[in-house]
Amino acid sequence: MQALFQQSLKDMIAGIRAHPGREAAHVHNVVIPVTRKEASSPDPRVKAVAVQKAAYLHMMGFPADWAAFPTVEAMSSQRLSYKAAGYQAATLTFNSETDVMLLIPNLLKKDLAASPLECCMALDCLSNIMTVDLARDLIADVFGLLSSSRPIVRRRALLCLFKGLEKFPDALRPCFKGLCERLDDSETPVVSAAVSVLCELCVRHPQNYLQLVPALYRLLQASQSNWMTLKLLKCFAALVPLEPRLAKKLAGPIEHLLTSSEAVSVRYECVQVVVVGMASQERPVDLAIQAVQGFVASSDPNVRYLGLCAVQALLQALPSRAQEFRETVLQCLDGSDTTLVRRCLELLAGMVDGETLVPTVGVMAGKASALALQDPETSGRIVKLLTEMCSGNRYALLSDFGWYLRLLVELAQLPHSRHGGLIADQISDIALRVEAVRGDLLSAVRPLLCDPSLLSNRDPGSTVHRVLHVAAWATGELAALVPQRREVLEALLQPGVRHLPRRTQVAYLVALTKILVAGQAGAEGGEADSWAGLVRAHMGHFLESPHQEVQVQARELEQVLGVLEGAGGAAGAAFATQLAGAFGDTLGPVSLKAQSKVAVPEGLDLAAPELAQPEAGGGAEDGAGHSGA
Amino acid sequence: MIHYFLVVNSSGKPRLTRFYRQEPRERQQELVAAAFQLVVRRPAGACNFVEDEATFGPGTKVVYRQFATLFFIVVCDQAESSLGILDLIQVYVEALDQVFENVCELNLVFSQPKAYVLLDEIVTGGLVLDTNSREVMARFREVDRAMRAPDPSQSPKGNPQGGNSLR
Repeated sequence: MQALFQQSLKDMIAGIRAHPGREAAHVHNVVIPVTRKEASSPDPRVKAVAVQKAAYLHMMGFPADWAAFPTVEAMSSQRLSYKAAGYQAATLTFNSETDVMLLIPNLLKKDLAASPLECCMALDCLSNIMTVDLARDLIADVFGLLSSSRPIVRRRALLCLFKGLEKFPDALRPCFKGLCERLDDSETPVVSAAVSVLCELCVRHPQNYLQLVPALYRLLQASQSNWMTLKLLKCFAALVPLEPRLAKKLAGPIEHLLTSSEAVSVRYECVQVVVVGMASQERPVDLAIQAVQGFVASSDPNVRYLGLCAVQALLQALPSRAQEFRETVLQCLDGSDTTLVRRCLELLAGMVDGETLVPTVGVMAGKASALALQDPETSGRIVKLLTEMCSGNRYALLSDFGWYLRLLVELAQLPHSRHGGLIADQISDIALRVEAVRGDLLSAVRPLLCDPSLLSNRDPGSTVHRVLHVAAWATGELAALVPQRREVLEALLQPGVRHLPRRTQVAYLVALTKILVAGQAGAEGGEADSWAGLVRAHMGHFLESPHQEVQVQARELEQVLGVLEGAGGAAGAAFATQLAGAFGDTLGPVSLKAQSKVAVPEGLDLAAPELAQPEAGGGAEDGAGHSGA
Repeated sequence: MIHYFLVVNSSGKPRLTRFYRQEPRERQQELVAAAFQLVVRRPAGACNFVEDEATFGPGTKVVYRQFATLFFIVVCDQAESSLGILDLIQVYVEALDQVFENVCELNLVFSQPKAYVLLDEIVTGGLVLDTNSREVMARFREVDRAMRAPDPSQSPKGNPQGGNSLR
């Protein structure tokens, strides 16, 4: 009777769709309770439908663990359609955590020995839910099916066997001979399945399968199916690097495929084989290069993508030949397809050398600017990559730092940019390491400091303040080299600075102090006074800043100003010279590992607590009398 | 090997999902959402391949095609040929078209079991079983016929719906 009123799967789905926006509530409150009840019904048809429904709910994202045992019951049904419902649900919902998995080995054993249809169903399900325990229990039965009279059973058994071997590798040795015998099967699809399995094994551990080379070679020459050819080529791509003599043997078939096959996929796999292990064979290499040229020039974006992958492989194996593709790769960069653009970028980073660095980086920077608004993520990747290219190996490829600094400053001003930190690091690194370009560096960053629009940037994720921080720091650090001091002072005193983060404001104040002091030390009286006056007139917003650090730094600057103004003339200049001397020591870059090289002095135990541990309930007063060491 | 075979509609709702690598239910939902996000914003005329090793693991590639309101997304590893997988998706869609006659999304919604049976004739355990559409259809029809066979244990005055209510 229950069957009469049971909602079928279609009815359930229609019911869920009839509650748009409230599906989750409908499912939890109505559908799941009803289906749970149906799943425990003694009527096998009701149970089977319930199990189907549970599987559908699982796919939608609702929990269906309550259906696990009913699923097993359905799987053991005699009626094919109920059994199918059970197997489908198991494939969808079972995983290694499902405890009812312990109940199914015997059930599967029975079905593996039953009619071909049931056997195929069982093999398919087992392939999808294989665990270590199932593999151990059932691999012998699956292996036995390799000699079934029905080709479809043999095919499924081969693929299922692989899944078993994945979980239970100890079985590979006894099964190997039987597996290889299928390469001589009378039915081509069965041979194809055997090749698929061997391809998977070969790609993972090629060294164990060199003995199969003769059989695979024979199959490659005789293959009529593109799919099998592809798998064979993948096997050879894994084997050729391990067996140099194979390169010469394969030259014939590879040349034949590269010239006569119409399938791009086959020609692409041939190129892969040539690239990984046949570099010594001239004709195949030439044919492969021709094929790649054809791919990258294709109008089909999929083929172009494969072409770029092939160039990537070439770059690793035959870098000189890969350079021939530089122009084409640059052209491919000019699209909106992020997959292709990313591949191009990786290629360009690998292909660049001292001569090609500047034009390549120029093109990449142009692309980053073009993409800045619509695809900030890819734009950011481009910027990161080009900084790596320029600064890699301690700037090995870069000869014109002035050009690079100007480029960095341009990139810092791109809208939506998130790479301010990266650019800031680059600028500070160059300032520290490359003495000769310090003057250029100051000229390059001055426009950043002077630009009021950067101060009013309201984009919450903006990182341009990092660059401003470094610009201010560099200007202060290299104060002696600063030309046009007045302009720089005015830039640092702009009212918009109060919107910058507090650390950046502190950097501005430190820079102001240093520039002022450096200027005083060498300037004529009138000029020096006017600078001091300028600073005093415009530093009001620093003194009133809500940030404590900024206020403290501003008060210090005020004190310095006071001394300079009060002392006047020679005394002022002497004070300034003393202060400038304090700022004068240059600090070089410090290695990340430097701390670990400092020897710990004898008798010092870094792990011992410095303060006496407070007694229980002692509270805060214990720490009161201690000062820092 | 194929890791996942997913069919998602243009709003991101899963219509058919096969996870050939076992994943817990929550992770399955995350993967479906991630796959959808990867392909939904691709411009027309872009290539059918995407890479997202951060989500799907190192060495994986994503091959997808869009048919009307459905995205067919396959995540696989380097042992599969990208163009070969693209062909595979084509074979599956053509087979669906033969089974359902001018297949549309609603067919997948309401006749999901059939769609799964059809997929299982093409891919099993993440390995490709067959790419010949004639063979696939022949075997599907065999299985379908066997499932429709009347239940010998049912009495003639049984369920008024008759036949097999599991289709």
